[in-house]
Amino acid sequence: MRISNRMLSRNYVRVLQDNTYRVANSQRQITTNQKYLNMSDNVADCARSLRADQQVQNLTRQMKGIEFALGGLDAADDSLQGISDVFIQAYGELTNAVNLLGSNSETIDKTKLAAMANVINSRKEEILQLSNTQYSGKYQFSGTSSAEPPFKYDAENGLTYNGAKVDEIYKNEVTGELCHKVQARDEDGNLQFEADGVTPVMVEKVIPRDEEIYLDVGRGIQLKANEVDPATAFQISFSGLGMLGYGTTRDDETGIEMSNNLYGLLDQVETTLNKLAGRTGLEEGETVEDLTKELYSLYGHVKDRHDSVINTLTDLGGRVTFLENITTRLTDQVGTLENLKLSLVGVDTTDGAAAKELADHMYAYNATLQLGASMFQTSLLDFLKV
Amino acid sequence: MRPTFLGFETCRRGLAVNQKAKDITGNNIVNWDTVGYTRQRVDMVSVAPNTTATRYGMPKTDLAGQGVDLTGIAQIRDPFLDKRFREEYGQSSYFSKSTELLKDIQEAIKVYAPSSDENSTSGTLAEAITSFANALTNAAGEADSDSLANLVAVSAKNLTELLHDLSGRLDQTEAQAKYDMKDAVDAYNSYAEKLAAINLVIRDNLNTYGASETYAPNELLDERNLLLDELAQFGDLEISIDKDGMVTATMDGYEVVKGGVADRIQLTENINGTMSMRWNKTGKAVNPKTGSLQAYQDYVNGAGPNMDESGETTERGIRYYRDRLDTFARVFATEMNSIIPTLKTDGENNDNGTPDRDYKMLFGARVERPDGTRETTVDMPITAANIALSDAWLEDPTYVIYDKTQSQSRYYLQMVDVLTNSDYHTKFNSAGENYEGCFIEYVNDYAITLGTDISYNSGRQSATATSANTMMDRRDEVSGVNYDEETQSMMVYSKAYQAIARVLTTMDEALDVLINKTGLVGR
Repeated sequence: MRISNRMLSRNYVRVLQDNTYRVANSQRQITTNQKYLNMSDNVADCARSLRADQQVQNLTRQMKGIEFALGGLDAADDSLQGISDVFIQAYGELTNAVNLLGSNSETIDKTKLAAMANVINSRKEEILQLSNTQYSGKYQFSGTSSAEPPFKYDAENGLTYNGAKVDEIYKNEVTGELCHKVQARDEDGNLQFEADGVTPVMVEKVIPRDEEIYLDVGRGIQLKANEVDPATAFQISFSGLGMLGYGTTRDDETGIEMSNNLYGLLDQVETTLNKLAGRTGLEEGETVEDLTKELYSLYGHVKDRHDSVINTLTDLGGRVTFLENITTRLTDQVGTLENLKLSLVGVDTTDGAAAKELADHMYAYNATLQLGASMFQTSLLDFLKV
Repeated sequence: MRPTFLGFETCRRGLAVNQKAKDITGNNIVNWDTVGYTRQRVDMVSVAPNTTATRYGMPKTDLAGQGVDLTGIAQIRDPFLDKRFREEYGQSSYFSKSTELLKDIQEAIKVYAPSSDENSTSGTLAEAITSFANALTNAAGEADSDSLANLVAVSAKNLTELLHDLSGRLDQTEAQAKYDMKDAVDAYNSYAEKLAAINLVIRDNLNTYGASETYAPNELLDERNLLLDELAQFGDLEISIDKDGMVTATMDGYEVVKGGVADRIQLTENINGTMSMRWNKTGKAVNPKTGSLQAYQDYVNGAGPNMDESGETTERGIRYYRDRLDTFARVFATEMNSIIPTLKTDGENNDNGTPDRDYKMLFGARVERPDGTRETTVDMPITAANIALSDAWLEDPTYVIYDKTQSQSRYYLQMVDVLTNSDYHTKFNSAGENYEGCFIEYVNDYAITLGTDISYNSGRQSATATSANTMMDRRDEVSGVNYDEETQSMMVYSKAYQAIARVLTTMDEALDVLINKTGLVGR
């Protein structure tokens, strides 16, 4: 094979440029800790790194949501604990009242009963306040409502939740939604009546702003017809209705309608105690014995309703534990993915491999320079005697 | 009878020939690195006595020994290797140019930048989508919060601004590519005309100076071969040498240079933005099979599977990647505008599950009205260049809140879902290509497609460049200068010159005896 000087020169320059590029690339990798500048440098590794990166972003979003939710759940826990404590105090007063009545209903100490009614009233108002607790500007037990307190009380409508009378709320057996009946309105917004013009036309409506709030915890949250699929997300909201209760229960023995919500129950207890204490008058046909029986019925019902608060507390505790476990799992996953990204597109300068590669390239570069210095000097011309 | 001074003539020829040989050796040595230079050699022939053309017949022995003569200075070159080199060079030029154009696109629209650093920011589209999704997720925690809604608006605006920027940079890339294409066409035309001109000079030289096919004006041939090498980078060049010494060059079967006439390429930009090249004389389209001109045509006009206008090509070039960016913008606006329902005026929402419900318009196309004012509308095609927040959202950053009286997060979550959930199948339909997936996956696919195209073209460029280098080496094996060979030749000619000088001295001494020393007796 014949070698010409031009071929030598050209190939030498090409090899020198290649070695220079390798040295520069190694230096860049070490100083930036990045193997590649662009996707095209290694499509397979960069594509995998891209997917890992986006998984990390998704997990980070989930962790931030969980962090926020845990704050809310902590606050809800405090409020629920407060409600439970207040309720226990009220229950204690009610127990005293029942015991007091049990001794001899003819010689009731009305002063004591009046005092107990006052205590019940205070506790009742405390429960109302705790039910309207806010966390980060949002009512904790209101579903999605945020502008106004969910629970309100007035003499005309009694206790209402997002505008619906709590005692009239019921669960639709088909849809499972909490509903109430409201008077229908026509297209112009006017109230509708039956043919007699007096009887209102009532329609069923879902309780407004009482939807659940869900959190994406990595189950692959899905939305179906704009509704979150509960199986794919984690519920972090608490409905005040579920906690305090709704609707009424009829006592078969006394025939009275007992409210299912704690506030309404305590309100009924207070009313009964005030009647027994003589503060308010009895209704037509009402006797002290009737009131006493009513109080006993309410007493039994109150205990049952307290259990719902305890159940909610337990449920909340379970949710907190679940979220904390999820956080640990997500943190581990993020760590694994970050390591994967490092192995794919990062340069680990601690293990010496990158430095060794740079040293190898520098050696090759220097050797090329030395070779060039010797290659172009010597030829037969140099050995001629001039 | 032997002529008296025949020996001197023999030596004179020998000296002249060896002097010329040393001249040519020196020429080779000084031109060892001259671009396009082909090493030359002196062709010598022993002078044969011609006894038949004399007036009187003479025995051959009387005229024998007339020395050496120079038949010509030849080039040592292999035309077949030239042809092979030009083929490889054309291929290499095509992939070199295509890689360059695709890398320009990659630089313009940084869709993704590989990074193992979780805190690094690179201003890519993937990052902008992630930021928007993060803002939405934060806002979902307090869906009625004005401040968080403001952050969502800022993040959305950044996304639209980034799309404008990417589209603008793609436009700049396209403009630069078209400008470079014009330069390439001008360069081609210049080389073709020079080739035609040098053809004429070579022909005249051959006619005037009696040169032949073997002993042609070597420097002019070198210059012509260099021009042919330069032309080879533009397309698939085929060369044939005519009897008058001129070459005919064809590209894809079309005669581009014939004798002293060259056909120029005319480059025009069509109304739809594609570039077309036509031969000046016939108006036929220029369609080389390879070379940098074909690469420009393929990738400047390249719309890939979304080819739907005349002049576009099937390669995934600038138009394809712009089309995909525009598809992203259009589908993004359409999807985002179909998520948050509007509320009825009496405060109840009309989210009743019926298909004809109204949604809040979040994004649209920013257009200029006839009166000069600007508005954002969905009645015009939305592209990456004109996508913007709706007028309602620009005026009120909290417009994105579904209902300020409640913390309804599901619409924010749905937007995040559409953007990042791989189970979500949004349809991205372009003119020919369809893609299904979430937005972040679409951007991934975009980056991977571009990366794969660059990787392929770059790999082919390396391979073809290696082949071209190999062919160049093989050419240099034949026509390149080797110092050792030339030095050896120089030593030979130098020694021969010295020897001939000695012979001349001997001849002179012999003649001196005859002239000055013969017949002196008796004087």
